[in-house]
Amino acid sequence: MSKKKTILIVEDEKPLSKLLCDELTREGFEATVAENGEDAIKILQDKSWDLVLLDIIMPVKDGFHVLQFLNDAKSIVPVFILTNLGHVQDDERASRLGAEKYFVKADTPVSDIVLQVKKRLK
Amino acid sequence: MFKSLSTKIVLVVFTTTAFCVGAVMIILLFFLRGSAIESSIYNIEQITKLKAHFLNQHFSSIHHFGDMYAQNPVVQQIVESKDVDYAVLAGEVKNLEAEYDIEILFLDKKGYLVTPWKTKEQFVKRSSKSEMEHINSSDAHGATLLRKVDDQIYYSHFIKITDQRDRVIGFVEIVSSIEVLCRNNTCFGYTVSFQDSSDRNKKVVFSDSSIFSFISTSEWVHECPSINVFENVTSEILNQEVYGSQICLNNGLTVVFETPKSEILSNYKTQFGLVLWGAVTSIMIISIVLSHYLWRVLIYPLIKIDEFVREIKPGMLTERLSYLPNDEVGRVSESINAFLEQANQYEKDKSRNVLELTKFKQAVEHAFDAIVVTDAQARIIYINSAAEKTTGYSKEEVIGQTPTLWGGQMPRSFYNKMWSTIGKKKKSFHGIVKNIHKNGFHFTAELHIEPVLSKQNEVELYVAVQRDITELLEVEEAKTEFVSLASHQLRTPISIIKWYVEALLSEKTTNMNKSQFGYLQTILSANERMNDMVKQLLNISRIEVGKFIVETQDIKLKSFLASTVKAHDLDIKQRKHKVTKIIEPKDLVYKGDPQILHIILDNFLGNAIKYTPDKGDISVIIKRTTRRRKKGILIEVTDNGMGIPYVEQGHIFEKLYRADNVKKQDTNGNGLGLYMVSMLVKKVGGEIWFKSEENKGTTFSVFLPPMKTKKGTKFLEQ
Repeated sequence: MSKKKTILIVEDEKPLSKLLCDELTREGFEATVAENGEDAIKILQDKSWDLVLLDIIMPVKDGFHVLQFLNDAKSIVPVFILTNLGHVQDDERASRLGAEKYFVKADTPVSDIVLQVKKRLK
Repeated sequence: MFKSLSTKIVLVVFTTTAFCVGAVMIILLFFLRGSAIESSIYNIEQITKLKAHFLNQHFSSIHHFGDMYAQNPVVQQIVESKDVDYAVLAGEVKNLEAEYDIEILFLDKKGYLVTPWKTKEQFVKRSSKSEMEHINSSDAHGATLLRKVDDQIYYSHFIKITDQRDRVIGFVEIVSSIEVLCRNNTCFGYTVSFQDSSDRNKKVVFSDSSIFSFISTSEWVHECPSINVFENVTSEILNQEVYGSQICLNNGLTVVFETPKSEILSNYKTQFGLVLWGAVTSIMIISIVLSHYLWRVLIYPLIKIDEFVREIKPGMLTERLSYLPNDEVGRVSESINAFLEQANQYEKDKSRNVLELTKFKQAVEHAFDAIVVTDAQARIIYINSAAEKTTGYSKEEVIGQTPTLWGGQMPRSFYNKMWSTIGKKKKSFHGIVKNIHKNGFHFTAELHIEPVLSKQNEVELYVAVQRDITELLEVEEAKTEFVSLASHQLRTPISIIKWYVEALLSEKTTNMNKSQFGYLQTILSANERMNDMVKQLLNISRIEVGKFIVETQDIKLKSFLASTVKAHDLDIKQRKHKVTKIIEPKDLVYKGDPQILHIILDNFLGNAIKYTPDKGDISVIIKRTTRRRKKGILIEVTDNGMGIPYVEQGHIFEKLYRADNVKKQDTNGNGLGLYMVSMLVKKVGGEIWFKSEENKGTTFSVFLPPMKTKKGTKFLEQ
C-alpha cells in the first residue's frame, strides 16, 4: 500500500474545515487543517504536501499571503482555492500566483471538491 | 452744392424747360424769319403789280387823250396858229383836266405853248433841245418825259400833230403830276426826290423808305417782261440792302419797288421780341407747374415719410405709413412698412428671447451641476453657484482666471488628451477628474467639456459641466465593500449548511427515514434559494454599477439552449411540462457573453416552468432578426401559464415587484429576476418586451445585438 497523500486544508471556518477533513480522510487522504495563513505558512515550511486547499479571506494572514509564500519558496504543490469571493480580480490574482483551481464554496458541493482532489492526485 | 432736392428739381426742370422751349423758339424764329421775308417779298411783288396796272391804265388814258387831240382839226389849226373857234374844245379840255387831274397842252412844232386859253406862266418849262430831239424822234406812240419843276415831278407825254402831208406841225403834251399816279393810296403820300433832270433814266422816289422808280426808255412796249424780283441788292437810291421787284410799263417805263431789308426785318424783330417774351413766360409757367407737380408727387411724400420715420420710436413699431401711391414712393412706403413689420416681429421675438434667456440663465445659475464657461483661451467668463460651491471660489475670484485654480491635479497626459480633444479636434470631452478645493481638500468630479464653435468652426467658448462625484464614489466604494462582505459573510453559513446537508443526504449508512430525508431536501432547497438570492443581489449591484465584464465568444445556440433547458430538467419532469426548442436556422451562432445569455434564458425558462400549471406547453424560439436596422437574435419564451394581470403589466420589470397572482401561488420568488434581466438586456444594447393575458399565457421577447467585449471588474454570478 502506497503512502497516504497529504492534503493541507487552510480554512478559518471550523465547520467547513472539519467536514472537508472528514470527507478527505474517508477517501483515504491524510488531511491536516490550518486555521489561518500564518499557521499554514509554518506548517508548509515544516514539511511537504501533496495538495493545498486554500481559503482566501482569513484572519492574521490571508490566502494571497500563503500563495505569495509558496511562490517565493518556488513550491510546486498544487493549490485549489476555496472561497466565497466572486471577484474576477481575486480569481486572476490567485491564478497569477499559481493556484490551479478556484471553487466558490456556496456553489460547489463538497463531493465535487473531493472528486477534483482525487482526480488531481490520482 | 444744392442740398435741397426741391432746389435740384427746380433747377433741372428749369434747365430742361428752357432748353426745350429755347430749341422750339429757335426753330420758330427761324421759320418766322423766313416767312417774314417771304411775305414781304410777296407784298412787294403784289404792290408792284398793282402799281404797274394802275400806271398802265393811267398812261393809256393819257395816250388816248393825246391821240385824240392830235387828230383834232381844231387843235391842228391852233398849233398852226390859225384862228379858230376853240371855245368848245377849251371846255372839253378843261373838263378832262379836272376829271383826270392832268394838264393838256398844245405846242407848236418848235415846242412853244400855243394853247390860247392858257398863259405861259401856267407851264413855264419849255422843252430843252435834247428833249425836243427826243420828242421829234418819237414814233406814233409818242414820247415820254419826266421833269422836275419846283421839286415836283411831272410826267409829260408828247404826241406829234401832223398835217395831211405828214409833216409835224405841233405836239399835244399831256402833263400829269407824278403824285396823281399815287391816287387810290398807291403811293402812301411819300416825299419825292429827283436825281437828275437831264438824265433820261430818271428815277422817281416817292416813298420815305420804299421807292418806286420809273426808268424811262424811248421804246414803247406792249408786252413787258414778267415781273422781276430781287433780294439783298444794294439800292443806289436808298444806299442800303433792299428787297424789291421791278416791272415794265406799257409806255416803256420800268417801275421799281424797293423796300429796305431793315424794314422787312423790323417786323420780324417785333415778332422775335414777342416770341422771346412768350418763351420766357412759357419757361416760367412750365417750370413752376412742373416743379409744383414734382414737389407734389415726389418731395411732399418724401417729407411725409421723413416725418413719419423720424417720429417712429421703440414701442411704436405697430404704426404704419398710410400714404401708398401706386409708384416708387408707394413702394418705398411699403418697404418701410415691411421693415417695421419685421422690426416689430424682431422686437417681439427679442423680448420673448430675453425672457427665455433670463429663464435659461436662472436655470443654469441654479443648476445642480457646476457649470463653468470659458473663452477659447480657457479664461473663465462665467461660473454658476454650484461651481462656486464645488470649487470654493467666488465668481469675482475666478472671472478672468483659468480652471487650473482648482485643477492641475491629474497627470499631464490627462490634460494633453483633454486639450487635444476639445482644442484640436473640437469635440466634446468626458472624463473623471480630481480637483482641489480652495480649502485644500480634493474632490472627484465627472467632467464634460463642450466646445462652442463659431460659424467659421473656430472655438468661441468652452462650456464645462462638472458634477462632484466624491460622495458618490465613496458610496459606491462602501457598496462594493458591503457586497464583498455580504458575498463572503452570507455565503459562508450557506456553504456550511449546504455541505453538511449534502453530506447527510449522501450518507449511505444513515438510518434516516423517508420523512427525515425529505426534511433535509427541503433544507437544501431553501439553502439553494438563499444562495441564488445572494447571487442575484450581487449581480444586480454589478449590473447597476455597470462594472460587470462582458467576454464575448461565438455561442452555438442549439447546444447552448439544450444545456440551459437540461439544467431545469428535474423541474420540467416534475411539472410534466412539454418544452419545445426551435432555433432558426438550426446552426445559428451568436456572438455574446454566455453568462449573460444564460442569465436571460435561465430566468425566462425558470419563470415559465414555475408559473405554468402542470402539463403546460413551453416553447423557446431563437431566430435571426433585424430590429431598428440592427442585426441580432430574437429570443421568445412562450408559455400557456397564468399570465400577468393587465393592470400589473406596467410594473413587471420593476425591482422587487411581484404580480399578485404569482404571490398567491408561489412564495419562493424574490422579484429580482426580471428586473435583472431587463437591466442586463439594456446594458448590452438589446430590447425586452412581452405579451401576456391572464390565465392564457405569456411570451417574453428579447432582441440582442451581437455583444461587444467590455472590460470591468466583476464577472456576473452564474
